[in-house]
Amino acid sequence: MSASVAYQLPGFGLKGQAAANWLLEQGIDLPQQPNTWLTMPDQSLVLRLGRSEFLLQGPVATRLESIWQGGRELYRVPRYDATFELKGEKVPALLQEICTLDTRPEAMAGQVLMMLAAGISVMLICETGNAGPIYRLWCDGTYGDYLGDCLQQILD
Amino acid sequence: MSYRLPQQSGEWIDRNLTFSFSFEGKTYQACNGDTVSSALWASGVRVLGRSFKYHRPRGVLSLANHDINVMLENGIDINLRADVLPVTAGMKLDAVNTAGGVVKDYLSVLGWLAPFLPAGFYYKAFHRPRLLFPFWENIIRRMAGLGVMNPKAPRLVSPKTNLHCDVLVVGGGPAGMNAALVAAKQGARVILVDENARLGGTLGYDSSSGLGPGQQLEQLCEEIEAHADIEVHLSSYAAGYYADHLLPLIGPEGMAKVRTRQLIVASGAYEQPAVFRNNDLPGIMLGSAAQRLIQRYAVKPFERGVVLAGNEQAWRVALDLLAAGVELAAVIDLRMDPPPAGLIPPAVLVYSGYCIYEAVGSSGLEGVWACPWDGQGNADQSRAIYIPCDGIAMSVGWAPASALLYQAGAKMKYDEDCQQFVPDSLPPGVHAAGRVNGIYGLADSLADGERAALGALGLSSVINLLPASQASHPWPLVEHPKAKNFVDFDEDLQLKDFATAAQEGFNNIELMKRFTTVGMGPSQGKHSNMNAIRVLARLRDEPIQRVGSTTARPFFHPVPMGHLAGRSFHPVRHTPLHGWHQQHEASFTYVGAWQRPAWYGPDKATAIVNEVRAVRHAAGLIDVGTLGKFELRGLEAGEFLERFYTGHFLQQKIGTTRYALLLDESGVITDDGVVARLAEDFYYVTASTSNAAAVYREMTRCLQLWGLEVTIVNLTGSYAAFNIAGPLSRQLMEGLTTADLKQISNGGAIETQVAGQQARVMNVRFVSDLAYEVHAPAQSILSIWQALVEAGQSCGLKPFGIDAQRLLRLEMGHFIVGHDTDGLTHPFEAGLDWALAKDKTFYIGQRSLKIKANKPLTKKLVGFTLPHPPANLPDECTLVLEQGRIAGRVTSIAFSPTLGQVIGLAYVAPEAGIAGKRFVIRHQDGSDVAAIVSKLPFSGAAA
Repeated sequence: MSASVAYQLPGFGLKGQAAANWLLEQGIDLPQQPNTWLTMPDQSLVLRLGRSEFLLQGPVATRLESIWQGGRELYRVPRYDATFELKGEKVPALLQEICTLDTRPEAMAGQVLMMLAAGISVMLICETGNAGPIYRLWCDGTYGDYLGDCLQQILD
Repeated sequence: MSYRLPQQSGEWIDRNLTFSFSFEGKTYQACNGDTVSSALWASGVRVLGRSFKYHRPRGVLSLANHDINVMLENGIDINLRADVLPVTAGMKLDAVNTAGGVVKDYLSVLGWLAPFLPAGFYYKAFHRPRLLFPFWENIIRRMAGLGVMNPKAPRLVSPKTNLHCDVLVVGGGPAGMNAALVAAKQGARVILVDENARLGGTLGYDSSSGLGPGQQLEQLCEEIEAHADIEVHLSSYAAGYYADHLLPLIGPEGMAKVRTRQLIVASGAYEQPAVFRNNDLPGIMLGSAAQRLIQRYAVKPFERGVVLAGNEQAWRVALDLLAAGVELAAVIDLRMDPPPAGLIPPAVLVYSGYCIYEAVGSSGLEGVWACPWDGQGNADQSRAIYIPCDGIAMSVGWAPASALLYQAGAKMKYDEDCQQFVPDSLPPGVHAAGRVNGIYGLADSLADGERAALGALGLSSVINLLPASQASHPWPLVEHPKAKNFVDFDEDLQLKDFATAAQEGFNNIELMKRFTTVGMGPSQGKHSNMNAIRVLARLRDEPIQRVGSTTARPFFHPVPMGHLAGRSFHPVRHTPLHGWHQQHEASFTYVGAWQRPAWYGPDKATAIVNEVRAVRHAAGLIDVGTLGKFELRGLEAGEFLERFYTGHFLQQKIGTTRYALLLDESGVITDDGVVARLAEDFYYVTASTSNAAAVYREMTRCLQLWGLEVTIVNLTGSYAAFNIAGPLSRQLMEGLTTADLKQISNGGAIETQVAGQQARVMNVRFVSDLAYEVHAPAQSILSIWQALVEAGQSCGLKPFGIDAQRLLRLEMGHFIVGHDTDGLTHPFEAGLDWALAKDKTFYIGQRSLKIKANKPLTKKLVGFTLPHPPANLPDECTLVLEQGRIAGRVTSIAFSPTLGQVIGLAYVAPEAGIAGKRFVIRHQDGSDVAAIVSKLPFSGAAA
């Protein structure tokens, strides 16, 4: 397993009735359903967290940051996430212990799981590829130290 | 003498790996794979435990983890069940609940007193006089019971995991194994769980059944192992059923919570003991226990034995005993008809229509008196015969392991032909198979497993089986004038106890359970409930179906407390300034999940005084990033706040802040904070640290309810904040920003740059008249904080923790919600009338406040000083007395270094709440301390 706490990962949070249209105008494909996600050609992640709330991470976040001017029914959601990348053979057992939902890759294809893990609110997605599943887990950055220690303790 | 048999086909022990262990101070040998019971029995030990109440000697009963005859302790864990506890090298074990050891337990004298100690005796004997009840309770608790908990036992972390599957099959016998295979072959993801160390169930020990234990079992196991979609959990049991098919599996290492789409209960049946005098003597065991000893552990159950027969299983037990070299003295058959010709060798005496009237022996079985009987419990003693023997195998019937079905909501019916409760109707997604369904015999069990699996997958099946005939004897109980014919082995309940309960009027199954405590021991009635129901049915002269059964609630099998606790996650939050605090000698304290600096420096008292002085005479900095922080945007945001809080916000000027008081529907204070209006359609709101999550939840709930066009963004984690307070605070801030802070000196708010970072600055005077709260994105707060610390280095600026903060706000006369208020405090009591907008048509709690306003106040929050403070100050929560009666309590108290006196907040009688009036505080040492009501803020609490 590898894990990283990365408060500074460029993340662009957006909320409001006009959010989806504004993102589409910027040429960004959007997941159709709430709590789903997709990958952009530049490997940026687009997570739809609700009907009118989005989180974008990766190069696209930097681009949007540079052109952001705000607008009616269009609100920034400042992000301070701790993000963890989980991969390796111990990860299924780790996830089985910290959360109650079914986190098998086939059970959560394309989904953003918003749930409690180890007692705190987190978001989880699973990317599948030739190297095996890679899970990305976000939590409020103020819980970052706690969750990092917690994951490590379980793995140890 | 060793009772170890030659190698048995399919035995569970490894004879090449042996080790020694100790039991009650003596050393014994065991093979790898032995349980403690099997190893001791193989060594010829017969007294393995003592009973709960009368301390009677006990040996093997079920050898299946279902009874509590043999419970052990190892110095750390207690109530370990020897039936299933694997022996490991060097183990040191003792039996629980003995006085003087398991062999010579002197409390066995209680057996002689049994006639005076019937069920329920303590209800009547010790409740008067009430004063003496604790005395008797103490004695009873010492004499009766199980293991004694060791409070110094180390904490062992057992993980709790979460599993998901399409089909969960509970029970790894023939029906369960086949159900798992059939379901998996149809593409389902299956979890198969069994309480035993190996799969097989009856296939593993009932050697005369069907094809025998070899080929069929091996084939099923191989197929299951080879199937990728079957996950097997052994030595684990499903201990309960919860809504939506959630079942906790309890295994040796911990608990797994399984959520399944379909549940197949193939949990089998518990073999039931017969009831006759001294039916608990070591050497008397269930037929299946004798078979387990032979087939699993290669242990001869006894030398010369008797089989007590009440069903077809008994013949197989007899044949197994013969094959194991046991001298079979007789088969005593409760039924009137002789066995089928040729089934039993002619040399074996079969007494059809006989019962065991009495077993004889002291610390082990020595013989039995068998008598002809009428099949209804009455023996003809005139024709009694004595049979010397050292063992009895009882095969008289079964009770379904149906606890999960009951808990799931299944309706059960009593099948008179099978003499067993079987499912009548099952809830959606729940299926039963095998013995729990009344289906006995190998071929039928396999077929029933297939039927259940197909049903679980929504596929049709032509299999339709009826419950087996006479699987259990309808009345395996024999009266005896001297009693000691035990129905419940857990709590030493005798047959006569049930008659007593009925006589006393406790003749309903639920009432009888509570009067006699049948089924309330650790076995939860696995070996007693069925016979108890039969007894009650007879006492009431009603069919068993009408008497019904009780439901063993989850967990129906004991679970180690550590398994329930799991890893115990305790979330901890750190503000972005946490690292800085650590580097500067902060001592931390918890506020909710947050770790906050309580003070800085090695000495608490000195640090707090210095921090307070810094704020009063120079400036201080405190991290308040833990506050709830919310943005409310939209044209109806003002309207939302107007309804949510008690004050006015629609007319609030841009660039100003207002106090925000939140009530619940009953008018009780639940939180307070600050609302800053930053634009026409943009408010920035803070909530207290402890209530941040609850306030956000309530905001979103109300937003849904009211349907207003407002967007709420929760910034609690992504924004950080600090407060700079004290006479030099403005000067220090002005050095880092171009904004004119005088503009906001009277409760204003502004968005500006501080130390080159975008921030929101508000004038919030919680700890000082001159103070600013700076809010900024979490990523940038450290640089602003550090810039201020650097700027303030030369003028005495200090960081301060929440201990100093609480003292500073007390000097200012500010209360803290949840500290100075409780779950009943309303604004009139807290002196917050001014915060209630009188002209609004609605805000949360307004209706309740209107009712409260018409009632006289009963208490009032006031400031006070102590003119003659004792060296040891009264604690918070000490009582305020008014003419000897309780009028209120102290909520905050401390010595103020600024004022040089003790100050505090307290609830007092309303008429006493006038500045200068005196009241009395009852000190925790019992003395009275005089206090004087003071105006707020306390005079001299400087800015």
